[in-house]
Parts: sequence; structure tokens; C-alpha cells
Amino acid sequence: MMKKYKELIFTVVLIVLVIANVFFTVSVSASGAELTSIEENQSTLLSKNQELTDKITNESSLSTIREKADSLGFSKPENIVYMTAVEPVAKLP
Amino acid sequence: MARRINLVIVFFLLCFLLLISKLFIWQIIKGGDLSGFAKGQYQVGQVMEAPRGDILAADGSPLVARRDAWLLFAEPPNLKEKSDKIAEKLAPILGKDPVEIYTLISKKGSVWVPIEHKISTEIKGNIEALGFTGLGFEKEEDRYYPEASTAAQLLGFVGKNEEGGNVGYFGLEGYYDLTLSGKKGYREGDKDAKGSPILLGNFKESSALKGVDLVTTINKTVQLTIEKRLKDGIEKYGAKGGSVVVMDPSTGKILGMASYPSFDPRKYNEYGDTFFKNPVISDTFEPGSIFKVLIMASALDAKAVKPDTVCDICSGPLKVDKYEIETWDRKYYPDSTMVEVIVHSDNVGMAFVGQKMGADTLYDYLDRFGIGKETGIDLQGEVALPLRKKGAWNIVDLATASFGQGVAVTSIEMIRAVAAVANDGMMPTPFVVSALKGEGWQEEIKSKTEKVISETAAEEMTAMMVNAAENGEAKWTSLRGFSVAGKTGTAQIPIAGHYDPKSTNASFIGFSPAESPKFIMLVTLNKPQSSQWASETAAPLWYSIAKDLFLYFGIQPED
Repeated sequence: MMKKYKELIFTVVLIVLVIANVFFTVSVSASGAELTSIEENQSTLLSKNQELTDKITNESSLSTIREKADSLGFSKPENIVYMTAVEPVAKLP
Repeated sequence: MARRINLVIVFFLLCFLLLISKLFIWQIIKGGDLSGFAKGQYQVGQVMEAPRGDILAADGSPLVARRDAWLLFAEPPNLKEKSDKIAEKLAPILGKDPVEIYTLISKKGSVWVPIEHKISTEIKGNIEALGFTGLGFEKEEDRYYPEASTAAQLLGFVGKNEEGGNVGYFGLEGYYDLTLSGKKGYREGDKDAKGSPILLGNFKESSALKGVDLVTTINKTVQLTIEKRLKDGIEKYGAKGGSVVVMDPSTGKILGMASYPSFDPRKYNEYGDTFFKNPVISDTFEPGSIFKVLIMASALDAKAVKPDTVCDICSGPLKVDKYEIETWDRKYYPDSTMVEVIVHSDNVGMAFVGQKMGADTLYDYLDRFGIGKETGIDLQGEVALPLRKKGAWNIVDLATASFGQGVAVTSIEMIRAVAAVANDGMMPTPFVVSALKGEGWQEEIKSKTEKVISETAAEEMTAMMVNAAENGEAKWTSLRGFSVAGKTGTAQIPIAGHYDPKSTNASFIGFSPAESPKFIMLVTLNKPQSSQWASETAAPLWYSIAKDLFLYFGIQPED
């Protein structure tokens, strides 16, 4: 009787361990796929970020701004007049 | 029966031997290779390239930035469309000849063919939209220049080494190549049938370290201004080439550095080697009269002369050994003071100063001013021609050096030395990178200065330069009311043991405001054609740039 119990316990433990093993293997395997997916997402986001950075860099470059300013009709001042502050002849007490 | 049993035993022995020998071949002879094949099936090993650092202007905006680029390749056995059709569709997108693409992808026996390197993400998208199978992309890194070819010789470029790796050449890319390059990473681990990593396997990762960013002292407004003005000036005066350097004289920060002709770093392989070197640091020239500033400053410091010392040999040409020294316009001013010698740019007067100092003292001062030595600027390709050895100067060498002949300097040597006059006698070390910037840290690079002449001598020399700018041969082009200390220099060009009678190097060096300068600038023009004189070429170009810089730095006229 005692031997039968022992066999039963052994079988149950064995089945539980097998199930756990399968469960963890499946779980780890899925994690690997998940990691790959996260890495792909990260790579896509980094790529997009880089694209946007390039765009900002390009749009904010002085060469681009100068071209845009020219096309909008802005021009460099030709004659600059420097004005001196007039010294007061009499100050209030 | 016994015979049959023996036969079975022999059979089993043979099988066993066969098995042993096969195992020996697999495990001992081919063990390494087979193990490698097996690892290739279940292991993934990947080198992760380190992104190269950016080069930033003083305001933090990029002068050179990294960006993603792609290698377009074809796998001819997997191409489903006809090669000529693919070539025709790709050619306009890539800007290439369709025949060239067709030749590449239709080559017999090829399994993998690179078609085009460093294509942009946008072009990649356009090619993907065509939906061709058998074409693929591999990530690469490219250098992006938001200001196009601006400061090309200062920045340098990234080319390939013999192994096909990226290497910086010339300028900042060359000097700081190791700093910009970063450190490659590596990833190794087991993978499943789909290629996903098995996290319980031997997973090792060493992250790639991005290269360090360089924060430069380059002011983009100054840089773009000097480039435009230099190009216009070279066209206007018909010069073969020219350079402009703008520096903060108190710190040595290079605010702008431009030379023409230059190159486009995006297409560096379309230019010859001569375009890559930066004339400001790599080309030496006889400085001519701008050198008089250093000689006079030295003589003032050595107390060999005073501003009001009278030249008693200035009434005519000076005979030195078998040579006769003349003034540039053959006009002579008897009993000139030292101020007048500088204002008239008088060669005879300068020979007088040289004689007052003596060759050894003059040598010592030139050595202190760093003439004949590299300045130590953080750019690849700097050169310097050493001075003639101390004690080996004869009276002719002494006389000619006094007005800038018989010595050779680079523009960077010259501007650094004159900066000492602008900076109360303290000579700065010129530099371009003011900080190294990594992820979460920044290291500032401090400026260095050394005393070469007294404050009094610097002040006296500055006053002479102000006088020269206002009353010298370039006075017609000076900007009225602005405080400028300047000096022109027209130097003959030595060729094959004599001076070229037809061409000159024209230069103008000056700083403003004279009292507390915000910038010092050196303009040099190589062989100007409209006039051989600096007063009619380099000086007006200097003032045309200065006019913009006055506005930008908020420098106002004093009266």
C-alpha cells in the first residue's frame, strides 16, 4: 500500500515537473520572439527618430534659412546708420 | 559454428573500426569546421558598429552629423524580374546608368552583388515600393553636412581604409578620428529555428559605444560670412586662391576658417589630394609687410626703439652687402619715426629696426612668437618651416627678415603671433574644439596663453597699427569711425631661387576694436590679378568682411 502511494506521488511529481518544463520552455521561447519583436520596434523607432533629427537639422541649417529668406524677399541691409544718443544740455536737479 | 561466430565478430570489429575512424574524422580532423557549421545554425554572432560622433558648431547645431544610410544589394539567383527591367527602374532613382546596373546584376555566377552604397532612407523607400524580390538593404552610416561644403578643409572627411573601414582624414575628422570613432560592440547567443534569441542559452552582449561629439568654436554666421565674402573677393580680384581666418585673440578660439578653392566632403572622391589640405595650416608663404608688426613689437619690447625713435637711414635706398633695399613705392621719408615707418610700411625703416635689435635678439623674439614652429592647433595637417638657426643669420638675412622676406609662415602661425599684440602681450594657442561631449558627460577644453611681450609694447604696437589702418596705403578702404588696428602685406613669391616679378601674395591682418578686440582676422589672397598690392585687394576684402562682423558682434563706430 505504502509502495503504491510512493509510486503515485512520484508519478504526480514527474508529471508536474514535465508540465513545468514544457511551460517554461514555451514561455522562454515566446520571450525570445518577444525580445526580437521589441528590438525590431526599437530599431524602427530609432530609424524614425534619426529621420526626424535629419529633417530638423536640414530645416534649421543656416544655408536653408538663407535660401528661404531670399525666396521670401528678405535682403541684407546695405546702408547701416549708427545713431548716437543726444547728450542732454541741461539735466533736471 | 565457431567460424560463423568469428565472422560476426570480425564484422562487428570492422563496423566498430569504421565507426571509430568516422568519429575520428568528425571530431578530430574536421571537428573545428563542423563545430563552426553547427554554431552557425544555432548561434548568432553580430558586430554592432559604433555610431561616429557628430561635429557641432559653437551654438550646438551640427556641422557634421551621422545619419542612417543603406547599401543596396542584389541576390541574382533570387531575382524574379528580368535584369534589364530592374536596371531601367533603378537607374533614375539612383542616378546611375542602367547599363552599369544591368552589368552588375546579370553577372553570371554571382550570388550577392552590391549595387550602391550610402543611399538615403528616402531612396530606400522608393526602391522598396517597386516590390522587386532579390534586392536587399544593409545598414551603413553616412556623414551628413547640413551646411553643404562649408568649412570642408577644416572639417576633413571620412573615407575608407585598406580594410574598408571608416577613417577620418584631414582637419577635425583626421585629428580626432579615434575620439569620433567610438567602440564597436558584439553580441553572441543561441537562436531558435526562427532566428529569435534563446534567452537561457549562452547570451553575451557588449554594447557599442557611440563616438564622442566635438563641440567646436566655429561660429556658423562668421563661417558662412567669410566663405561668401572670400569667394566674391577671389572673383573680384582675380586671385588664384585665398584664405580667411577669424580668431578670438584673447582665447585662441577659431571663430571661422575658410579657404578657396575647396572641396565638397560629400563627394571627396571626385577631388584631387591638393584640395584636401587646409592652406591656413598647411601652406607656408613669405608674409611680407604684415611681419613688420612682429619685428616692431619685438623691438619695442626689447627697448631697441621707441615709437618716436627717428630713423636716420631712411632718406634713400639702403645698401646691405651687395643688395640694395628699397621701399615698396620707392618713396623715402627722411627722419621718420617708428610710427611713420609702420604707417608707410617702410622697408628701409624696418631694416633700421632690425639692425637696432641685432640678429640674435630678433631670433629670440621670433622664437617666442612661435615663428617656425607648429602652433599645436587641433587640426590634422599642420606644418611649419623652421627658422634659420640662431647664429647663422647674416646682415642680409637680418635686414630682409625685418620686412618679412626670407622667412616663411603659415596663416595660423601669423594670426597667433599678432594675437599677442591684440591681447596685451599674451599669445594664445589656437584651437577649434572647445568641448568633448559624450552621453551624459561633457569635458571642456581650456584655452592656453603665454606671455611673449610686455603689455606696454603691445599697447604701443596696437597704436601704431591703428595709425597704419587710418593713414597707411589702405586708408581709402577703411571704415570711418571704427576702431581697427591693421597692417597690409604684399609679398613677392619666391620661385626657383628668385622672386616672381609678376605675382604677389596679398594679405591684411587686423583686429577690432583696437582697445579690447572681439576678433582678429587675417585675409590672404594668392596672386591677385586686378592689382598686385594688398592695399587694393586683401585690405578692401578684410574691411568688407569686417563690416559684416561689426554688425554681428555689435561693434559700433567710436565717433
